[in-house]
Amino acid sequence: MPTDRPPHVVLVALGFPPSSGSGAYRGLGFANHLTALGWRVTVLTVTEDFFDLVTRARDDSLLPLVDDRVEVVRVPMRMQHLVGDVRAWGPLRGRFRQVHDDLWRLVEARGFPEKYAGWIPGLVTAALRVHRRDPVDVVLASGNPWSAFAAAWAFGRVTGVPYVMDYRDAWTLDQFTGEPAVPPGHPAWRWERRLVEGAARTFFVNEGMREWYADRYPTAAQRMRVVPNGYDEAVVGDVPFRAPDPGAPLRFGYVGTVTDVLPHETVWAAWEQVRAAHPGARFDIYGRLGFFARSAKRIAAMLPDPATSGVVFHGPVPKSGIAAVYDSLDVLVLLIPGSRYVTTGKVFENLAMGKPVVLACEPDSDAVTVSRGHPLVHAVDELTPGDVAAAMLAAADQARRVTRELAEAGLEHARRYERGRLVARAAEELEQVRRRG
Amino acid sequence: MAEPQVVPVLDADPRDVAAWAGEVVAGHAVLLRSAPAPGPAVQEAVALGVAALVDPEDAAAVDAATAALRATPEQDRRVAAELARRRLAGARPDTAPRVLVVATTAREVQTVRPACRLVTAFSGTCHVVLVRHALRDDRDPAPGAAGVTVVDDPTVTSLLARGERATLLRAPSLAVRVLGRAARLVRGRLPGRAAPAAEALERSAAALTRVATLLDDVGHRRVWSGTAGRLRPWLLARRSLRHLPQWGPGDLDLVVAPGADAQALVWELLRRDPGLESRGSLNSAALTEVVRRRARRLVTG
Repeated sequence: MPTDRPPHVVLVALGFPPSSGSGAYRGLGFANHLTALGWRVTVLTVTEDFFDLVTRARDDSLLPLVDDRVEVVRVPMRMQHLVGDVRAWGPLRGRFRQVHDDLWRLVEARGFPEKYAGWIPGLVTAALRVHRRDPVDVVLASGNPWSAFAAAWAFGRVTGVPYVMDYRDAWTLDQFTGEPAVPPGHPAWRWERRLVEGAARTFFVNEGMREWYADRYPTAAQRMRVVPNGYDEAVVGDVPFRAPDPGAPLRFGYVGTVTDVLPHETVWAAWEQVRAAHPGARFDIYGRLGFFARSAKRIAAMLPDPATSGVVFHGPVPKSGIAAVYDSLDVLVLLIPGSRYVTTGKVFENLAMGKPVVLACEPDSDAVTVSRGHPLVHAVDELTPGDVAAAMLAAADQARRVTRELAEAGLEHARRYERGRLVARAAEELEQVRRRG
Repeated sequence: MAEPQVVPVLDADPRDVAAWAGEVVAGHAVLLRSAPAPGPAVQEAVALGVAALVDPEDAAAVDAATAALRATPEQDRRVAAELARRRLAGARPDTAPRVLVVATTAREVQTVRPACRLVTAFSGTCHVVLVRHALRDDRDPAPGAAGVTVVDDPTVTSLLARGERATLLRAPSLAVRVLGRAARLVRGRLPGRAAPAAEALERSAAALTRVATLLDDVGHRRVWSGTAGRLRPWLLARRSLRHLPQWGPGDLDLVVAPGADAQALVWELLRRDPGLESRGSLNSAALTEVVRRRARRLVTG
């Protein structure tokens, strides 16, 4: 029922400011750029206490970046079973933790197979309220959590409003191994088929994921699209061109979440070789250790000793400080878990810095594909300490010779992944969905 | 307060406490000669970052300690000055940490043993809860502990539970085995012309033996162990709470419980005193933080 009024999209995204998780930038990008393109955007996201109690990843400096025209509805989630702080546990979990966990597993097996399933009723109710007040044309649900997809589907069943699924990660595919993430017969398969086949469009962050899903769900393959992560100029800020100080040792660096699936062993072995060739060089790491506070200690143990290695972990950086961090580095090293199904959003940001970038990842990674043709990127033929060290040394050499023109050529390559451009392509798809009702 | 002036090395001997406490009251930080067993006042000053224990011959250590002392937050320096003032006035502010340690397995006993030593070395009080079946060796399970509560293993001590186990699991398995043996007995007495019946009996006997084995094995592991495992934390918490002293809010600073079975007990303790901290392990940095927190609470109320 196309009318003259601006189209109304409901974005269901748990990853939204003040979350400082990587998914928040995609949610923020969709909300702001769709608004700029003339859509009325209502975001259904979780209440802020979720980022204090469950993920403990919060950056309030992201909140002012949300366009004032975006309506944000915060829907509480049942998170009793997700909270790590014992003080917040109820009597059942406190006294009989295993019984509590068993019951949750039972609920998951019978209902929607995800620990965030308790969010679905609240989401559907909130969406219905929004729809009653201001009819919704299309729902765009971003996963994970996959409960966002289920809520969009349920809302569609009640109202007939079409929904679009946005896969930031894969659900039934283990992106790191390329193997199924759940065993055969698991209810996730049944649910995913139902949701994908019912979706008006399905977005993926890379071509590898799209192909895998198209093979698995051929009847929906025609409606699958790739919408890469891209980078936000508003978030990254302006990083001016700066040649490294010729008298000072080079500063290498990684900016992003440090997880246990990154190729730590290979990169730190390579770094020893680089340090031998560049005495005094430093490797600065900025970001969170893992996605949840409980994994931080284990991941910290994977980093080399700062006293002897020159590798220094600085912790997370608020949005306001990110440009200064990039500016302070001479060579960017991206550690990426191997597989063609993984791109990592940070790759686009790194490409847009006008500095040499080393891709420490398997050669079939999607990060290599999107970087192809960038004049400052150094990928490896094989993810071995020798190859990574060679790439880092080549990048170091290039950092000493980099010119403003070369940096500008790199930026030109990166601009095709500016979030606004990518969201504009997604908006065309949403418009088609809206017109077909 | 301006950046603190760092006073050169003094002795940490109790007789000289007045000397360096005076410096702390004046807003200075002090370097103290390393002592084998520093007292609570010294540990408090070190934890608050207004004193450092150093070897005066080690220039690098002195430099590093001086730099660290200069970086101490103003809030901690004010707290330290106030406590030192009270000590000089004859009061005995108690900032020694009070810790409850829980160990439910032999491995956890090994884990918590150093924690007990650490608390004691910090002039703190350590109360320990141990489950009896975890005490596998003769060594002191809780060296220096001020109090030890030994709780019986709830999985084996309950006569009712034993009876239940015998009735629900052992009796059916025994009955099935008896049936299988009876089938074999009957088969052995059948005449040669009844071969088909004998074969059927043999098959039945084999099937019954398999069922009995399954009951013994799966029944025990899945049903009994599963149920006991789910109840064990709660039973441990109930039994421990019955025997532990009735601490009021603020009496305990920290609970150290490395195992999952102690979670119910930790939950009960935190419910009674939300200000209590809980950790899976203990190191000197964590204990220093406890002392700092206690000192701040003493001064600010």
